[in-house]
Amino acid sequence: MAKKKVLVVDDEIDFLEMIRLRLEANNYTVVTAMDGNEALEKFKSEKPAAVLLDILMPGMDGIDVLKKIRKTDDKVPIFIITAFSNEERFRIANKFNASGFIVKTNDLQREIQNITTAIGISESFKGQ
Amino acid sequence: MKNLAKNDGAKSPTALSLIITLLVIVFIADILINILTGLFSLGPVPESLVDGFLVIFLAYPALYLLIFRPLSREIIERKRSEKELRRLAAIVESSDDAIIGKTMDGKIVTWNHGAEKIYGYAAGEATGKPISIIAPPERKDEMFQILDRIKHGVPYEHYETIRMKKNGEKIHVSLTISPIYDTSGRMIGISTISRDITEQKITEELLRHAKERAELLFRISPSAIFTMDKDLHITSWNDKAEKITGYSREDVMSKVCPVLAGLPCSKEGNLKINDDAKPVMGHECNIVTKNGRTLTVLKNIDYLRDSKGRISVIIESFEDITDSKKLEDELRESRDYLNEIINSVADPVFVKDRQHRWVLVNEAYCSFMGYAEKELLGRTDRDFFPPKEADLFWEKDEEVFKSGEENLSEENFTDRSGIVHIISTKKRLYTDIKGERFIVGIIRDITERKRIERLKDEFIGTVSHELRTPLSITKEGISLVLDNIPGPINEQQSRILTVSKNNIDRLARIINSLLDISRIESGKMDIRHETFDILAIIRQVAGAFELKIREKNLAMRTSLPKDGITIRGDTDAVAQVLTNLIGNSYKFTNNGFIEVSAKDAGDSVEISIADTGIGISREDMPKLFEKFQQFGRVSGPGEKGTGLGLAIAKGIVIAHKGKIWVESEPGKGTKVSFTLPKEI
Repeated sequence: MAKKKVLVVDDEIDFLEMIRLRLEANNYTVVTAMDGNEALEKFKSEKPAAVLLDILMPGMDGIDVLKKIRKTDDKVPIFIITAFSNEERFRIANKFNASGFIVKTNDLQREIQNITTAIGISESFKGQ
Repeated sequence: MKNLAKNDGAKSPTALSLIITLLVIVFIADILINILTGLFSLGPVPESLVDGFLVIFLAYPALYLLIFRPLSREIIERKRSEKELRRLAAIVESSDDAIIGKTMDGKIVTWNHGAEKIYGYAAGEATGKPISIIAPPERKDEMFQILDRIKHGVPYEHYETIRMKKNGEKIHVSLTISPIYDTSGRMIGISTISRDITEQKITEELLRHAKERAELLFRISPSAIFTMDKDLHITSWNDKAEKITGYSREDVMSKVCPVLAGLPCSKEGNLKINDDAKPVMGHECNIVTKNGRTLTVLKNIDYLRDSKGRISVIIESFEDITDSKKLEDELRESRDYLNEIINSVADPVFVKDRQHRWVLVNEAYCSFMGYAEKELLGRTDRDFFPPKEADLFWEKDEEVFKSGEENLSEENFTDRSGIVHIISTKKRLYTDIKGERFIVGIIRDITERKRIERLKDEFIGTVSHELRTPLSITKEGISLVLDNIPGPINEQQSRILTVSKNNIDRLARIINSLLDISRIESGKMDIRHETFDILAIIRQVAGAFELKIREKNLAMRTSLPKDGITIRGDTDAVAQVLTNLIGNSYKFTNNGFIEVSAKDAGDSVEISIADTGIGISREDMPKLFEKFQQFGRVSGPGEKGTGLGLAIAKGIVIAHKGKIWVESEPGKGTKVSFTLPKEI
């Protein structure tokens, strides 16, 4: 089975590296982007099966990226990477149909499982 | 009279007819004169006129002298008496006094107009009746005694008694009762002159009462009272005056007042009373008592004047105010002392009455407001603050007035220059001795503290965020190694990395707690409104602890209703409250059990976490929900807390509009309970 491609967007290079290792260990191919514009470009060119998107980024932030991706694709699972929960951001993320959240301090392995499930659901919809 | 004539005529039959004729003529003439003078009240008949007629009968001098003349005189006398009687009758009739004639056995024979007026009986009604008709029932005997005494010839003069009018009304009368004698000196009746003295009696009674009252007041007055004549000689001196001054009545009576070593008032030693002297009220001065003690007295002076307006009596009253004056001085001193303290307080202090008017403000309050004390006293917040602010202050005052409970609130306060301060006001109710209620308030300007708190919150927020990212990276790095992703590691490496990872988790939790408390305190706690079954959350959190609890050889009990209880709130936040509380129980319980219970309380759900742990001492209880408070720190292995768990739990519960409280007994255990409304 071909590896699923995941786009991870975060301005923290070390975090990108860690999550890349974690995802690859879970049999994903990882594409990274460090700002909003790069993220939109990679989303277009790489056509990932899922996007992990940091909210707080300089320049175009995660919410803007989310809005823009949703304009062209309302199915792809998009997970918001956040350091801590914030009601306002949650609401906006939900409004633009985010699939879930990845809380940075949580156990990433467990968070990855949620991503896998979401991709599975998304794929099954595609298959129909 | 006829018989008499016949007898005279029998003396000489021949001359008899002539003599009789002449005698008859003279007699008739005499009678006519007498009748005429009597009828027309011409006064006493001139004897010369009668005598004129007698000249005609000189021939019959002896006869005249023997028979006619005496007879004529008798008639004249009788007529004169009758006339006199009529005159008397007229006087009697016109008298305002009741003049009553009665027989010896008390039957009324005469009843004048005055008697009619006084007793109400008409003459026709009273005449012939017993005199007892005017005696009140209880005085019938008295009447018989009077009659008896009169029969013995002893009259009464101005005898005062009570009689009864026809209408039953009793009246006071003064009686003069005398026997009536006929010409032979025989007692033939009784006359009574009654005067109605009811009005006089009432007046006398009123005067007597007034006098008695005045005497009584003089005697029992709590004030010393004494009187002096116009020459300042003391004429009366009451008991209280004796008591206060130590001078007895004998000491002072008839003495000139100022002679008595400053009595009643040393200042008035040379007192001279002029007739135009004005009353003196509330004059304070010193007097020296008999034993030489100086007293402060408060005195009044007034005067009685004669009909010409000259002072005849000087009345003075005085009270010993030495003690009350001393007390007043002490009170003033203590008030000044208190004012000094209040004014030295750096925080603004105020007292408001029930109408929200300032009745006391300290100097700090005046400078805080930017107004002088006199500008504030008697006015209210509404005279100075923007309506919204004033209404809020008003509302908070009302809460205290109504509940009687102390209130601590944070409010905005716009000062005179328009700068808005954040103030913390503590208000409490004060009820004075008369039952009037006041609010005592103390204000603390917390603007600066708030600014620092805000900075601190921002700092914590930023720092926490910045800490979390490297923390999560570090943690994930270790996790990757532990999960053998870069390659296999040995057991020791794994153990070391596990300890590292656990401590990173611990650090993350501390950071989370700091963030939570920071959000709670800055009021930025976001509560999601989700609908969930609280029992499911309880089971989930309790379940997560179950293994750890069992490892510590403790029992985990749950006492939950069968049916779920749906509430609205923030699932994660509620789970955190439960985690913190069960975590505390776990930490402080070494044997026994931890029990989580919940019950449906109608509009809310009540949840309790009870343990058989070490408990909390009485002195620690009030600080329990304060942040960074740690009680009964447990030594040895196990995670140390941040002292934020209960503060966060309270913050979350309050954000859900619930309540949280603790019951604890040292050595026995602790029970923390909280409520969550079903709808927020």
